[in-house]
Amino acid sequence: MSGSTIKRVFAQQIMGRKYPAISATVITENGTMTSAVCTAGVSVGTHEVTFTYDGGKKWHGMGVMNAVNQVNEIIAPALVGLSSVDQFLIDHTMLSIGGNDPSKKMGGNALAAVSAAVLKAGAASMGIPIYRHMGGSDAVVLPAAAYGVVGGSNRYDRMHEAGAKPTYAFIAHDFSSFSEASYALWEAVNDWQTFMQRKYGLSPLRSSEAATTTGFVYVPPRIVDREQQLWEMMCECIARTGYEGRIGIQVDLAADCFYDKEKQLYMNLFCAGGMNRDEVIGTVKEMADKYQFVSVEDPLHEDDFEGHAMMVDAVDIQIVGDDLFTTDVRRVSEGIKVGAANCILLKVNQIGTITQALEMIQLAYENGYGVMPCSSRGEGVEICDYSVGINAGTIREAGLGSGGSRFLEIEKELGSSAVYAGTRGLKGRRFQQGEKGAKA
Amino acid sequence: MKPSVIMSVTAMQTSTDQRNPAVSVTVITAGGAQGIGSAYESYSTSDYRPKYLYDHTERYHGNGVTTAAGIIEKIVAPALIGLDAARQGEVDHAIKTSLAEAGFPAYVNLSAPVSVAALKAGSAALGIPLYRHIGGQSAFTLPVGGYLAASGSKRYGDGERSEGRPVYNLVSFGFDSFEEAHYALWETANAYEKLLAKEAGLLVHRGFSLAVPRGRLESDRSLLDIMTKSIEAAGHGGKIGIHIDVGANEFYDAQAELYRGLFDTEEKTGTQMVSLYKELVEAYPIVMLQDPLQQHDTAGFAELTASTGIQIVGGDLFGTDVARIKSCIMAGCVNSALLPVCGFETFSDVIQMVRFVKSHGADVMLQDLSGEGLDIADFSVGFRAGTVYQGGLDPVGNRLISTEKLIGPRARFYGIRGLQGSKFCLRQSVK
Repeated sequence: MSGSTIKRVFAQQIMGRKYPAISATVITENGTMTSAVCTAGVSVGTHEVTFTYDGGKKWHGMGVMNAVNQVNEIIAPALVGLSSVDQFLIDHTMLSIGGNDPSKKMGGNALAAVSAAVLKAGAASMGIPIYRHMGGSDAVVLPAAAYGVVGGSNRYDRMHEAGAKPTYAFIAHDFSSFSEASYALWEAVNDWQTFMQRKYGLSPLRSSEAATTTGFVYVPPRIVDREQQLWEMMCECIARTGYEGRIGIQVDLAADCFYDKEKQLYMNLFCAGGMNRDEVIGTVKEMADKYQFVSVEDPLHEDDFEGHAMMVDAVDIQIVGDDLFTTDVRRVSEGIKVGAANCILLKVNQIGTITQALEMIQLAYENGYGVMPCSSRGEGVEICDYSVGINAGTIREAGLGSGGSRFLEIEKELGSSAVYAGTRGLKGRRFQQGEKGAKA
Repeated sequence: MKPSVIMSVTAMQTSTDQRNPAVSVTVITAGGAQGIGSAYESYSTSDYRPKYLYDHTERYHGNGVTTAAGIIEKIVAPALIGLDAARQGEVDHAIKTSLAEAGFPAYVNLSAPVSVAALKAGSAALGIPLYRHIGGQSAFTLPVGGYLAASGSKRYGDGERSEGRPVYNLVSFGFDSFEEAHYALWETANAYEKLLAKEAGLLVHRGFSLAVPRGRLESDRSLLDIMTKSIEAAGHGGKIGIHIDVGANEFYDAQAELYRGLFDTEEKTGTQMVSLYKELVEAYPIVMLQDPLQQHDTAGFAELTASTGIQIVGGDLFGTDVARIKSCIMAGCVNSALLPVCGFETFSDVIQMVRFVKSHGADVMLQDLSGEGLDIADFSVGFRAGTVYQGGLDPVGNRLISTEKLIGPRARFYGIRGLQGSKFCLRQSVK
């Protein structure tokens, strides 16, 4: 029996961001013990996979004891004795439970937690880093470094809850190494935070459990009349620090949160009032051409594949789909067929297992799409290993802090074989000059 | 001590089935894991082929490699002892540094076989298959492979080099698994061999390439006709296609600027060649053209890539010259790059090249050219290449069948998506 053989699997309910989370632990024959967590999402797309929640009154129905029991009673016995190194076999075994009966299927949160814990166990039992276990010797790319600068919504409509969107980040792309980019990012972010503190008395969110929201300065109503004023300030900051054209802005618009289905208008997104699809496309074009935007996520509502294709035609920067694709293979295929967006947001836990995530990534890559990892369901700092493991070009905010530190470690470990994704890590015609004869 | 730590590195001169002997290197780790890598120069007229260090004595027509083996044992080996074989970047850095410090220029047979031997020792020490050591858990795809249907000969001319090209392969893509594709290839090969005997009086011995003698065919169109008919006869129309490895360099007279003895007796200009290919792609189920033009006709390559909608592979076009590969990919000359792994300085250089090619919307294709052997199966899966050179009804194909089994029920055969070119694209309307 090999040292990486699974000896024990168990799960427990722990505390997540707002609701309970499920934590799964895997122990292998050679004594390696690893855990992974899956939390409930803050903004949950309509098309996401089903997580198992307990319902009822306790924890407002968001308890995960049923998912915990699925792991302890059904999944664990099926996995003991298998090799933790064979991720595909493990995930296939879990996904096969219940056969074709949907009611007997395991919850997405149970699958995600166990699958990620197995991935870590496989790496640990072989004594190699997670990124290399995931992507092999071929995993050498560090993504463009990004860090959050602005969050907070309800700027133009205080009655509306939009999950802290839009969120803006600086992204240091035109550099030759991650460490160099991350220092430039530190300079720009510092300048921004000092500026916002002095001018408006606004402080950044210092630390949060989810690495991707640390550092944001939440901008409340009545500071600006329209988003353009914010963009202007961000661009001035980039220019002040001397990084014009080298540090850009990425934004998650989460336009779905602002979409009024009846009126077919995006309400109070960039300023007070409604906007139709063409006007949003026009504004995104303005962001790309007049301001320093290099990546825009979810610029239109989650079912508008056609609009996202029009967006890619009209705007030559990276267009990311999150709620549009929900990391789902079928939705990604649908998008690729029509050319909607050019990059797919990857929430590993949202899709379920690591295997399904890798399958989705393969689909994206072979069709010329980018993949942008995001930690939002408890993936934690491992998101950095996932990013290098799949050679991602960009990542949601993880350029400084714990994420940035992990990337610095990985870059050092890879030594001369490390590749900084840089500007080319971004999708969009502007950054892909010379890409001819390509499939997509 | 970690079982993957390198304990010994030895090198020797070995024989190959080509003209030149190989440098063969064995790396052994603390855990007793072993990896063997070898490198030799295969025939090529590419201006961009790598450089090899030779003995220049009487033996092997001057192409002996005992000096190279000696340098590896004396200079490179000491630099590697104690390193972790599973950390490829570090190993390759040490190989290059040791050679550079001793003042050696970049001869691939001093570095490539050591690098590949360490790669394989690393994989063995971790106890994982080579493809997974290269591509990690992301390595779950099987490439489209092909059956060697006919190779070239000096059938239409005298003075040309030919060197076995053009090579015709039947490639099988329209199936759900590599195994299914493989079986369809077997059926088609049977139909093809029967038809070839009936219509052209030519006998194929399976496993040996068919070099058609002079005077038997008026033009290679007869071969294409027979191949197309056999695909139909086997019932696999639209699912099996033709890959022509033209090797146009071998037929090009640079002074006269003419191609001679290629496809038929007629002399052709570069422009005529491009028109001919456009016509052939319309008339026959050709899915891949490899080195269809001479190595300096980058504009012709780019035109074929843009207009035919099929996979255009560059080999002699850029050899293993990193700067040349990059400029050709950037200029859209090809949508697939042939990467002879053992023709690059180190495996890390191959990784960097794969990253570059893939991030520019093209793909790589692996071929057993300079010492790779059966490992092209693992390289293909590890790098998630869409196609492999041959790898149909041959030992590479067998290795791919067993890899498919090893990956298990979620292994994915690339099928038609393994082929580059707008014809095979998922995107419905390509602008």
